[in-house]
Amino acid sequence: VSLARPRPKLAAARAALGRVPPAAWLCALVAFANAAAWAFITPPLQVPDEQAHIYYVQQLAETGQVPKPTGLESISGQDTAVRVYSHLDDINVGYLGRPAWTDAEGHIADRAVRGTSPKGGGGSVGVGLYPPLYYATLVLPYAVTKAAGGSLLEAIVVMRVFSGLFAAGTVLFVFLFLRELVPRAPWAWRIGALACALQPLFAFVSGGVTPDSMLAMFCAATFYLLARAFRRGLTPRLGALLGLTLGLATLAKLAGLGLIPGALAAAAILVWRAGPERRREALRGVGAGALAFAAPMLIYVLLSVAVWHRPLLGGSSEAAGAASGGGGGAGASGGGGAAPAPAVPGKPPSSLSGYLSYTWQLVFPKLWFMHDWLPGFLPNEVWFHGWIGRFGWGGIVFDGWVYDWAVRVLEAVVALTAVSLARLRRSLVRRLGELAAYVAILGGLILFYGYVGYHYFLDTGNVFEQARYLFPLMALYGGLVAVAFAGLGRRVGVALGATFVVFAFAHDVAALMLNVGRFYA
Amino acid sequence: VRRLLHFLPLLAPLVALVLLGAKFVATMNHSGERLAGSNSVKLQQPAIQINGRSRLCQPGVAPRDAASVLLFVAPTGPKGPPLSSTLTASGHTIATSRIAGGWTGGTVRLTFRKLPATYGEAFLCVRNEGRAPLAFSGLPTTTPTRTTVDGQPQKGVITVEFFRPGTSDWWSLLPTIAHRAGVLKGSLAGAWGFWLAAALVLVAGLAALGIAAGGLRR
Repeated sequence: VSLARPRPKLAAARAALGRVPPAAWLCALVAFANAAAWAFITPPLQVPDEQAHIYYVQQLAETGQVPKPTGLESISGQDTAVRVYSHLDDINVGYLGRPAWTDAEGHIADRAVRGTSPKGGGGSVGVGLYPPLYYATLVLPYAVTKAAGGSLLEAIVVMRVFSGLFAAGTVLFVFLFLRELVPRAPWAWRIGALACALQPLFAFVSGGVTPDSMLAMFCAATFYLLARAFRRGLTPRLGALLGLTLGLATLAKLAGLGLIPGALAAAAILVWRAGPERRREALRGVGAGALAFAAPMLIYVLLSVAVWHRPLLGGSSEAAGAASGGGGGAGASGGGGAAPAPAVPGKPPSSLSGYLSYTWQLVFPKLWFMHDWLPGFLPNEVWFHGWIGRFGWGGIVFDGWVYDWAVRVLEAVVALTAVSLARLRRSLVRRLGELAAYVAILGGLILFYGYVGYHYFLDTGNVFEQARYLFPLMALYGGLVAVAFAGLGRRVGVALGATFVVFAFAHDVAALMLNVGRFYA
Repeated sequence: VRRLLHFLPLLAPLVALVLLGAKFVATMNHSGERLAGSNSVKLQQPAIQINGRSRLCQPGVAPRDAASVLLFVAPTGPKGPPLSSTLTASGHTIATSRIAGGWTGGTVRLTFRKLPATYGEAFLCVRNEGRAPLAFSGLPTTTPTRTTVDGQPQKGVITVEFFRPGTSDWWSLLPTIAHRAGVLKGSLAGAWGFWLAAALVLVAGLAALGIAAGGLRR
C-alpha cells in the first residue's frame, strides 16, 4: 500500500540525488576545489568583463534594478576603486603592469572601496540586455558579505567561490551525461568528468564573477536530460525538465538561445524514434517542454517590461554576451581566446552569403571562393589555443611549444576515439539519431555564434569568438574524452585514462603557475 | 601477485605523475632575477626628456626587498651621461645610487642597499650629471602629473621597475608571492588565500588521480 502511494516530491528528489554515484559527487568536488583555487589566485577583475558583471550584481543588490541599455555608463565607485588598484587597465595594455602588491596599497584600496558608492550609473556597461538569473544568485553572497561588514573586495572573493559551485554542477551533469552516453564503461565517466573538472580555462572562468559558469551548468544538464530521453524515451516529465533547463540556460546568458535549434531537432528525432505506440507521449513531452521553457521566460518578460522597463533584445553581440562599453571595456580582447584583429578594409556589406562564409570559417578552413574574414585559421587561433590556455583578458599565454604538444595530445585522443568507435560500432549505429542530435546542438550553437560574430565583426572589425563560448559544450568535451577511453576495455581504459587525468592536472597546474608568474612575480 | 597484477595498469599514470612532478621541481628550481615591484606604467614611448644637470622626480611605492631600480632611459648621444639617484620617504633618504657615464642601450639599472620596508609614498629622483639630454620612457599624459623635472610638473609618467637582489628560485619566492596574492582582498587579505589555493589544487589533483584509478574496481 505504501508503495502505491505517491511519494512526496521532497522524498523523490532525495531519492534521485541518492541514485547519483559517489564518484560523480567527488568529480564535482574536484571541479569546485579547482575553481575555488583559481578564485583565490586570480587578481580582482582579471576574469574577462568581471567589472561589468560585478556592476550588474551591485545594481541588483543595491537598487533592485538591472542595468539598462540606456542610462549613465559607469560602474560603481567601489568597482572603479577596485579597477584602479587591481591595475586592470595597466595589466591589459602593458606587460609590466601588476596588481597592487604591498599592504600599504592594499589598505589604501580598502579605504577607497569603503569610501565610495556601491551604486553605478544604471546604464548598460555592456550588460544592459543580460538576463538576471546568474546575478540574482550572486546577490545572496554579496548581501551576506556586506551584512558581515565586508567590502566589495571581500565580496568578490565570496562571489567567486560561490560561482565555483556552478563548475561543480557542470561536472556533475557531465558525469551523469557520460553515464548515459557510455553506460557500459563506468571508468570512462570518471575520466571524461575529470577532464572537465581540471580544464584550466573552465576553472579560471568559473572562479570569476561571470555568467559563463552557470550557462555551462544548465547546458550540461540539457545534454544529460537529452541523453536520458534518448535512452528511456521522451516523457512529459523529462520534456518539462528539458524545457525548464533550456529556459534557465537562456536566463543565465542569452547565448543559451544557441542551443534551442539543436534541442528542437533533438525533440523531432525523439518523436520520430518513439514509434506509433509512444509517439503521443513523446509529443506530450515536447508540449511540456515548451510550457516549461515559456514559464521562466514569461516571468522574465514581465519583470523586464513591468518592473525594470527595459527591452528584451538588442544588438546581436549583446545578446550573446560580448560585454564591453563605458565602464566595461578594459582595452583588451576578452580572455580565453579572442585574437585581436584589425578592421578589414573594404569589407563586404552584410549578406546571407557573407554570414554563411563567416560561419563556415569558424569551424573549417576557408574555401577558395570565400572572403577571408578571420585572421589565420580561427578554429586553431581562437578555439584551440584559447581552450589550451589564454588567460586574463586574453594576454596571458603559454609558450608556443605547449600548444604544439597539445595538438599531439589531441591527435592521440582523436585516434583513441576512432579506435573506441570502431570497437563500439554496433552501439554507434544504433544510436546515430542521438549522435545527430548532439551534432545538431553543436551546429546550432555555431550558427548562433556565426550570426552574432559576423555582425560584430562588420560593426567593429574585431573577432567576437572566444574559447570560453564553448563552455555550453562541456558535456561534449567530456564525451570526446570518455569515448576515447571507453572502447579500450577496463584495464587499458583506466591505465590510459588515468594517465590522461595526470596530464590534465599538470596542464591545470602549469596554467596556474603561468598566471602566478604574470601577476605576482 | 594477482593483487599486484590487478593494479599494474596504474603504473602508466604513476610514471607520468613522477615525470611531470620532476618537471615541476625543475621549473621551481629555476633561478632568475625577480621583481620587487613595478609602478605598472605602460611602457609606450619616450615620455619625459631632461637636460644636463636636471633632476627628474616621481612619487610611487618603494617596495621592501628592492635592491635596484630599472629605468627605461636612452641617451640622446652615443653614450649615456653619469646618473645619480636618491630614494626618499617622509623627508629621509632611504637609498642612493650612482652610475658612471658611458652606458649604452635603452635601460639603466641603479643599484642600492636592499630596502628593509615598503615605503608607500616614496620619491625617486634621478639627476642627469652630464650635459647631453636624456629621454625617459613611459606614458605621456594630457595633463600635468606629480612627476617633476627641476620642480616643474610634467605631462607624463615614467615606467619604473624595482628588482630584488641577485637571483632567486621559485621556492624561495613562494612566501612573497603568497603575500602579494593576498593583498587586494580587504579583511580576507593575507598569504593564507594563496596557500589554501595551492592546497585545494593539490587535493583536487590527487583526488582526481584516485577517482580515475578507482575505475579499476568493478
